[in-house]
Order: sequence, then C-alpha cells, then structure tokens
Amino acid sequence: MLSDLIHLLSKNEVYLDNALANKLGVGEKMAKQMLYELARLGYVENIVFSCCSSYCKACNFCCNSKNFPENRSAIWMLTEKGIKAAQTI
Amino acid sequence: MKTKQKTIALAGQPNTGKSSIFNRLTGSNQHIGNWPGKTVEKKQGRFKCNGQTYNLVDLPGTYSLTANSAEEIIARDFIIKKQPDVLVVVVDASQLERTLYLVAETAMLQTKTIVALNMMDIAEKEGRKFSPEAMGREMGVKVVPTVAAKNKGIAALLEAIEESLDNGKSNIKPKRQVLEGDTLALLNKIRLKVKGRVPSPYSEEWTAIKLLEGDQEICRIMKDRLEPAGWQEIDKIIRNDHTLLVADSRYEWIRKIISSTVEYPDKKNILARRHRFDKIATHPVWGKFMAIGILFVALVAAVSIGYLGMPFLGAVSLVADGTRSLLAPAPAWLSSMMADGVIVGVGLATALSFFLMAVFIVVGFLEDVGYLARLAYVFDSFMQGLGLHGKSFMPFLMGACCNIGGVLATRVVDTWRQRLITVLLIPIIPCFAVWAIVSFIGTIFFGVKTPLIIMALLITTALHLALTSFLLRRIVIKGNRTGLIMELPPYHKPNLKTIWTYAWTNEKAYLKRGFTVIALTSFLVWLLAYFPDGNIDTSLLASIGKFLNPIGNLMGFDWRLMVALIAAMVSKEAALAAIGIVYGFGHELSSLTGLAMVAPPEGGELEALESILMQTISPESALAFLFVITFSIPCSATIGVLYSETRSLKWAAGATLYYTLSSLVAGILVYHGGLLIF
Repeated sequence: MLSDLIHLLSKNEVYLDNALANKLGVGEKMAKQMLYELARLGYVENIVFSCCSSYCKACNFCCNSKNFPENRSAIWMLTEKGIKAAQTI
Repeated sequence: MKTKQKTIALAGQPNTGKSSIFNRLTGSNQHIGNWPGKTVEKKQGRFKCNGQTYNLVDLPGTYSLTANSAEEIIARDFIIKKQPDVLVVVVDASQLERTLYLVAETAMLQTKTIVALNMMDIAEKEGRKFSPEAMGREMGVKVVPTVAAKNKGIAALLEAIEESLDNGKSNIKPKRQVLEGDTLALLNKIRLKVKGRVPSPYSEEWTAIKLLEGDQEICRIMKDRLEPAGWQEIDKIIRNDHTLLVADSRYEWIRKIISSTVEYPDKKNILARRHRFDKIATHPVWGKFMAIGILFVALVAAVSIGYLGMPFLGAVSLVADGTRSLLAPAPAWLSSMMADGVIVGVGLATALSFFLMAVFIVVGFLEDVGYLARLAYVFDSFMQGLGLHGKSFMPFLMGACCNIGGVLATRVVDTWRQRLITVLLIPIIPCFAVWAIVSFIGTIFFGVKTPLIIMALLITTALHLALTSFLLRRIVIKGNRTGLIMELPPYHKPNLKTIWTYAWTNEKAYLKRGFTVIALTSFLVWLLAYFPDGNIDTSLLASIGKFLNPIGNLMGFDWRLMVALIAAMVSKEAALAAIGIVYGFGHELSSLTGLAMVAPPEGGELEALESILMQTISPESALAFLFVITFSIPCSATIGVLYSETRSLKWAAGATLYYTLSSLVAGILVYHGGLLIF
C-alpha cells in the first residue's frame, strides 16, 4: 500500500488528493493517512502554500493569507529518501 | 490471603480521549508524577469494581511503539517489561485509519488487549457504521464502543476488563498482521541471526521486526549482544531501509479491518455537484479552457472596477492647479516641484491604486472561492513542459502577486539547480503592479479591447517563460522531475468581508510602500526635468532620455517614454508617475487633464484627450510600452532579491541584462507589428 503510493509519486505526474484514493483503491481518509505516515517516516514531505505564507515581511505587495486559513493549498512530494526508496520498489 | 492488585495499562495515540477514560475510571483516585529518570508525566490511579481494586496506569500518548521519542520508549517498556494484566488501547472511531496503527503494533506484543472504540458519537455523526463484534473478531480482541466524554460505554469497558482477567478467558490475545513475501523472508533471516541472543522479556519475532524497522534502541541492544560478524550481517540488511515494508504490512492490516467492519456514508449526493464542477475545472483539456475563460472574465472585472477610479484624475488635476495658484507668490521652482512633480506623481499613484484594488478584489475572490489553487493544477502540464519542479508551482503563483515574494518563496525548492532556474524565471511573471499599469494605460489607449491585449500579453509571457526555461535548462539544469499530489481547498461561497479584508490589507501595503517610492521617484524625475533652466527640453532628464533615443526610436518611443522605463526599474508603479510628470511638464498638467477625460462620452472632451495622447504617444508605441513593461525589466527590489537569493552577482546581473534585452526586443517586435496593424 505505502509502496504503491511511493511508486505513484515517483512518476512524473500530478494527482489530486481526492483522485488519489481511487487510484490506490482505498478510502479518502486512508489515502490521506498513508501520506501522513510516509511523511512521518521521511519518504514524502508536505509543503503548504498559502499565498505569501511567511514572506509578507519582505514584500508589501504579497497576499496576506491570514484571512484565508482554509484556502491554503498543499502539495505532497517525495523526499530524497523517498526517491531512493522508489528506485528499489 | 491478600491477592496481588491487577494492573491495567491505558495506551493510545494523542487526542483519542485516553485521559477522559482514565478520569472516568479513577475519579479523584489518581496520582500524577514523572516517569523515573524522565520529564514525561506519569498518571496512575486506582478504581474499584465488584469489590476488586485495580491499578490503572495511563501510558504517554504515542503514535507507535518505535523508539522515536521518550514517550514511545516509556509506553513500550511498560507493556513489555511490566507486563500489565490487561492493556486497553484507546482508538478514535472517527480516525481509525490513524489510530489503529498503535493496535497493529501492540498486537505483536501478545498482551491481553481490549480496544476502546472511543468518540463513537463523532464517527456516527459522520455517518460511519460500525460492527464492534466483527471488528473484535478481525483483531482477535474485545472491542468496546465508548464515548468517554459522555460517560458512555465505561461500564461495558469495566465488564470487558474483568472478563479478560478471568482465567477462563485467556483467549483474547490479538491477531497479528501477516507478513508476507520479501518482508517475511528478511524477517526470517534476521530471526535466525538473533536466535538465542534476544534478552528477556523481548520476543525474537518482535525484536526481528524492530531491527527491520531500524529501531535505534533495539539495534543498540542487539549490537552489544551479538558477535561483530553476526551484527554486521544484520546491519547489512537493515541499512537498505525496510521501514516501509513493515509499515506497509501494518496498513494492509488496518485496511482489511476497516473495509470489512466499517460502513462509510454515501457521500455521492453531497459531493456530486462539487465533483461534477471540479471534474471539468481540473480536466486536462476542458480545465484549461475553463481557466482561460475565468481569467478573461476576471481581467474584464478588474479593468471595469479599476475604471471607476478614472474620474479621480480630474480631482488630481484640480489639486495641482490649486497648488499652482496657491504657490504663485513662491519661487517658480517650488510651485513647479509641487504641482508638476509631487502632486502629479502621487496623484497618478493614487489613481493606480484603484486598479490595484480592483486586481486585489478579483484575486481575492478567486482565492476565496477556492479556484486559485486549481489554476496551478490545470497548468501543470505547462510547468512540466518547462521542466520545472513541482515545488516551483507556488513561487510562480506568488510571483504573480509580487516578484520579490515569488523569489523568496523558492526557498522551498530544495535542489539548488531547480531553485536557481525557478528564481531566474520569476521576473518573467508580471506582478500586480504591472497588471495595474497595463489596465490603466490599456484603458486609455485601447478602451474595451484592453482585456484582449491582456490575453495577448499573457500568451506571450507564457511563450517567454517557455523559451527562457529552455535556454536556462540548456545552461544550468539537468535532472528528473518527480510527481506530486496536490491538495486542493474546498469550494466556498465567496465571503465579501474576507475578500474586502484581503484586498484592503494589500492595498494598504501598496499605499505605504508605493507612495514613498513613488513620491521619491516623482521628485527625482521632476528635479532632473526642471534643472538646469526650468525647460524640460534642455533638462538633464532630456539629456538622459535623448542619450537612449536610438533604442527608443526602434520602438517609436520618444525620450519621455524611455524615462518612464527607467522609472519602472526603480519601481514598476513609478513608471506611471513619471509619464504624468514628463508629459504634463510645461503643459500645466494638460496630459493629466486629458487622461482624466477618458471616461466622458461627449465628443469635445474626447477630442481633447485624443489630441493630447495621439500627439505624444502613438497606439503602436503604447502597445510596445505595455509589452516592454510586462516583459519585465526587473525592478530594483527584485534585482536586489535576485542577488541575495542566488548570492551571485553573475546571475543577478545576467538575469537583469537578459530581461532588459528581451523586453526591448519584445517592444521592437510589437511596435513594428503594430505599424502593420494600426
């Protein structure tokens, strides 16, 4: 299961989180938990982007995301450890 | 005869309601201290049931039983070494996918276990249906549904504890997950190596699993107990990182239990509409069409809202004229400085703020409804074509707010080469200020066709990005791109207050920074335009502008527009102030008054506008100017941040030179193309 997810992430494609569960044949909560587990083990990382995040201090033009807590988007990607693991799967 | 007090251990991941169960069972009979030699809190208590007193130990909340933290070591040492009579593992029924992981771990310890399926109310509210009996059969343990916060199921839990302590009921030991294939083969290999060397009370199987997972404490213990050669063989196996195999088998165990014992609500009806829309919005082909359509509508909306600020220019003109009259007795230079310089510059900056506010409102709306992030997904194939890393997505989006923020956001891109290419590409992305200038100048020269011009600018910007990325990859970057998973925010109904706060926060930031820079630039432009003799045609500014004339001539620019381009290098928004000053200078703000007249439909006033603008800037030159500004000679702050982030004068200067040249080439091409069209 987790290996399938790493294998999926090693391909040069972009998946949406809600489509991921279907791809893996598991529930949405399970798919999400698998991502968290891989992150805990250091194979993937979660990068959260809200327009500007902490960069506002340096840039007065940037969006201030304080009012947009729900609207942040995030991506999950393989770390170096994950890329290495994908090569052995 | 006094019987030994039975010990019940309470384990669970954080936030599963473990403490609530502990408090329900022990009431005020509890003692709080620290675990020996640790700063981790130890909670212990007593409770009575059917005349029997039990000792209850609340183990620290832990995700797993691997030696990653002091809490995890304490919890597992207690279970393994102190061997409680019953282990109660508390799981969150609404988060089974996560919280069952600990049960998968404790199952390997073969301790008498009861699973408290807590927070049943939340799970049932979410529409999940459970069969605790079936779940118990699958796990080989007794499963008790509870809602500890409401004191529900606690009596049943007590009953289950007593039942499990009954000597005749010793069969409630959990079923372990099945290890197969490579995992089993590796495990057997390690088991053979550690056979007879595992210290009590650890089991050989559990020790082998922990070694396979690379558990640091178990590795240390076994390294001390094995011959160097034997340890080296194990070390060789575990060096290849098999953590994933073990975790995989646990998740497979969890998946099987959940799929066979929990029914999920049918979300189809609730989410059908959202999914239908999202299916189109994120479709590889239709999604792009939709995105272009939405962007076009957004641009029209931004230009229309910004257009409302045009009459403001009339007020600026009046203020400037009033200042001129007021300062008539003062020296001529002072009157000119205030009226032709500072008020015109700051006035135009204020007019620009209307367009910026419009852009902020539209972007705020797109973000608030949850669409903005989808744009990144829809255009991923384009990013892929650029050979960019997935992490470059958001710096690009943020670069559209402000290039400085975009460049700084590239810090999340971890490989230096990928980061360098992203940093160097950010200046291509037109920032808010550019869009405001384009909307402003575009509205004056091209009226309702402005959104089409903006679309043309967007398309050529994309081509510029592709070409520059290709060139950069040839020079600096090689390597493969991996995939990524995007988490998209849910769609929302737009919240006017949120959009307004967003737009106003940004507007305030612009007014704060923009006004200082623009006022200073305006003063400098005026100073150079006034001296030495008060005649702009023989001024220092004219000398600088005329020096650049050979380049300007290629784009149909007179020296004044070249001066505006130089001002744009200080700050994009300052370009507009510079135009106002250099074209209004000596005309008593006639050009500015003309700009103010763009809105009224009466022929006479429009003629005045046309005559002023057409005499000074031709449409093809105006179009070329928009392309030069959009194609982006980086502003001074962006150049600064390019240097600080690349730590290389070579890259900062190289990028500045490249973008200056490419924007001039774009201007020349557009001007000559415009000559054929207009």
